[in-house]
Amino acid sequence: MTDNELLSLLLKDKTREKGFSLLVKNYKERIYWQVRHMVLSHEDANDLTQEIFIKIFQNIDSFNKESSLSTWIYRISLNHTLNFLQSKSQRYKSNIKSLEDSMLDNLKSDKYFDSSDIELKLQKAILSLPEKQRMVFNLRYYDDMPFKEMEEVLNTTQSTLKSTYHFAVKKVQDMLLDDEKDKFSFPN
Amino acid sequence: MKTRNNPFKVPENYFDSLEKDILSKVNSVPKKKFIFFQPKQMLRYAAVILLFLAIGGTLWWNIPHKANKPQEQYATTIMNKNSDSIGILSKIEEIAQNETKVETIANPTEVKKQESKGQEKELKENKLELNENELEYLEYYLNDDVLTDYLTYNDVKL
Repeated sequence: MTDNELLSLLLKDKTREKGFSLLVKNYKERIYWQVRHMVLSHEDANDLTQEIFIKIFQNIDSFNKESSLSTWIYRISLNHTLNFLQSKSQRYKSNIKSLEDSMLDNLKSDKYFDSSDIELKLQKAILSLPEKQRMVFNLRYYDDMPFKEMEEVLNTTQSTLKSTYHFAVKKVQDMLLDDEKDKFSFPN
Repeated sequence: MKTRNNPFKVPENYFDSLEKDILSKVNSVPKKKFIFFQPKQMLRYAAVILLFLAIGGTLWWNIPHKANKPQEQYATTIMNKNSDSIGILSKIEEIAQNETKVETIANPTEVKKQESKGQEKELKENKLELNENELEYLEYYLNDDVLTDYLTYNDVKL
């Protein structure tokens, strides 16, 4: 089912619920993984994904069709995730441990994470990136999102996004040892 | 060997349960309705309006006074000047009147002449033109009998 068909179902009162269940079916995994790569913990990702879908349902009437439905959904998802991370980092400001350190510690004990040394090192390197660089890196590396789509979602030019991504890759590679670098393939 | 696997995992059948959880939550959450004026918004607007009124009021009360001060001062000086000049003019008039009085006392024949001239002027200005009926009526009253009756009736002694 195309996004336009989905949208026409969502905008009619009679077919709204059907349309929404189809939307959840189509987007649940993409949204979950997008959030999970940012927050790392399964519990947080689960809560946030549910909140994002509720937000989408509540605000579907305000969707103004200026962008595609998928772009609008990704935008809501990223904004919600960033807000969550920012409010969480505010709580960690007074702590000796930073939010990133705490996330990494939780990851080590997470049963839903393949806690091999090399993956932990990669996550540590990704966590060292500034928030926006991390977001661009995750969208490109894990979600394979084309820069054109990213441009619409993040409202930033493709050239800026490309340079941000390449900076991020460089930093991550620098943090990994030479022999470890070869184990990962970073898309262009 | 280069890899790009996902190190993150999810519980078994997680996405099926996620879908159910979302749909059950959505059914219990009311859909946001677009209300043009929400109570909170109304309060905000009211506060902003009050603030503007307060600022506008203070400006209206204070700034015009400051701006008028020199104008008022100028106006009062002009008034004072005017009152001085009015006073001078009235004094001149008084002096002129006194001079004429002195002249009349000094020359009584002139005064009479002036008085008669004045009466003539008055007569000229207020010309009495009577028609025939009015003349008859006047003659009747000027008749001796009528006049004596009038005088005796009103107890007038000549």
